[in-house]
Amino acid sequence: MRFPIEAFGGFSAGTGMLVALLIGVGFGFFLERAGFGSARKLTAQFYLKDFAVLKVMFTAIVVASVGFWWLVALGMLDLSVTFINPTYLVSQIAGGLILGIGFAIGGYCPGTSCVAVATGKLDALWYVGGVVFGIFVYSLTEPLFDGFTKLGSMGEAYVWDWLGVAPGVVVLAAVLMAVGAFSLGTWVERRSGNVLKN
Amino acid sequence: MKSNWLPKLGAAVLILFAGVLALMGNPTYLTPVQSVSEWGDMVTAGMDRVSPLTVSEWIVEDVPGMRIIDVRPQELFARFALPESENIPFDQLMGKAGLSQLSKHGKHVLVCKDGVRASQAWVVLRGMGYECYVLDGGANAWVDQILEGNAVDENPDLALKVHALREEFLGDGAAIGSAPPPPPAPAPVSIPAGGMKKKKSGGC
Amino acid sequence: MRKIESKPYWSPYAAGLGLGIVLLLSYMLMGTGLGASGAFARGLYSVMHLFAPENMEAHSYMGKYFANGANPLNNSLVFVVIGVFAGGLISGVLSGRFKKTVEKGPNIRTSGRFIMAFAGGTLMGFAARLARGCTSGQALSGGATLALGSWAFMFAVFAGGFAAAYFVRRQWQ
Repeated sequence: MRFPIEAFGGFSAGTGMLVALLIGVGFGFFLERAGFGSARKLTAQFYLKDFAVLKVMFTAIVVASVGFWWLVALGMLDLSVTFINPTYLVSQIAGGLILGIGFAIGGYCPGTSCVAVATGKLDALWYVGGVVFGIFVYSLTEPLFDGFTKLGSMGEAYVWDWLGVAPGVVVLAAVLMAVGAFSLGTWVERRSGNVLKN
Repeated sequence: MKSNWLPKLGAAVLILFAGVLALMGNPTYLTPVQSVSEWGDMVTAGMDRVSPLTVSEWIVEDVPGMRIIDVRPQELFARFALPESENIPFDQLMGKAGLSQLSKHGKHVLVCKDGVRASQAWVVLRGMGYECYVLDGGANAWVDQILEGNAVDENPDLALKVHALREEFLGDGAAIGSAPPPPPAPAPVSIPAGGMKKKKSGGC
Repeated sequence: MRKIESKPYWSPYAAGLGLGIVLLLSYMLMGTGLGASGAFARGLYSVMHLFAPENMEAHSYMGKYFANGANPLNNSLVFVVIGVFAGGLISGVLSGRFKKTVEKGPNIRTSGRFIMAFAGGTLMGFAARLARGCTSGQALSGGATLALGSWAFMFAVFAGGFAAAYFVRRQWQ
């Protein structure tokens, strides 16, 4: 078996769309189960009251990362036809900072806002309106700072390549970092005693 | 949170798997081709080739780690070549001296007159684990689609941008008027024209 | 309906495990990670295209979505986001959490919360385009594939969030 299946011509167009839809259903389902349809749950992270955002995100990252790099190591996943987010350091750091600020203010991120809308959160509707408006503004003004968005371009750069170690070393470091951060988070949660249960 | 041992077990499993992975060293970027029939599957899926438009985009974007290897004989290369391409004639490329110039870390675009020679090189190099792609239609298609602007693109994302940048390439290829490459032969390909689909566009 | 107690959220580790497996499957099947804001953009662009097709096709940033008669909605990311709505609805209904509410703290009026949600959304929509991805497309997907820029992005998001949180605390607390 060679992955990704779609790149090796394993899906017809219709199957590809169905697969995408089902993956979306899984994504939305687990986001909702985690409580990410609630802006109060999501933003409690920033007040050190509930570390669910950190825990869910990093659990997902390390689980997927271990699987992903194992498949690569076994020669079953072809990196040359897999999308790897290209690195544009300047716009990613600038965008990340603005996105973080927007997160604290708006209470959702684009993915979780879909779940929030689907579970009846009226503020999420306004949030989605804001996102669309923000995309509108960016898309119209992009030609003005097109050069800025290309600064720090490094192509498909990997953390492990940059550090000069094997991918597994970074995966292991990420897992250990996650475990450490989770226990610290749980310890802080216990002291504030404010985890949102439902 | 009552069953506290379950997350701990999960963490232990993850640490174990990540630890073994850490000992395994650097990965190959490409999945090895294990059976003969897989070659056919890869060609059918279009993984062996890239369109001139995609290559022009790669050149313009200055994609890190990308090299354009022209496998035609020196005298043809001297008459016309793609911008930023380098010449390693086919017989040289198949020898040790030629192979040692390639890297398993970057991607190579293989160029010949019409794509035939480059396709042969692709089989050999891909089998050895080098990431490489045939310039679909070779230098002829480059002249036809990029320099003369007859692009029929299967990858719409690029068409507009490249159209605007054609002049940049025309500047580079100013010499072609004097020594035009042989006119493109009608392509008798049995495989669907297409070429490697550009990787899926980004998430989010 | 309202009297039924909604079930508690899953443990973050269980939900994270599920999310991680979905993310891995996404790479194994589609060769790409998860995403959300890209689909929003594609939806917006196709609506804009209804009003000003020529301007859209000629635009230096948005034009590529329409080059050679392409339809921006014909993309797997769009189907992923449709699925996210469905998945969220399924989970919400099954756990009794589907309820018309406004998420806010006790110290802010509903109208105030709506304004904040819109403002925060605007910032994030802008930033997600700038960074070429949001929390799912960059942090989650790029995090798992160990993409260098995505890890920088991730730390920047947490930094921005913590820095801004103090100033908007009355909205939540």
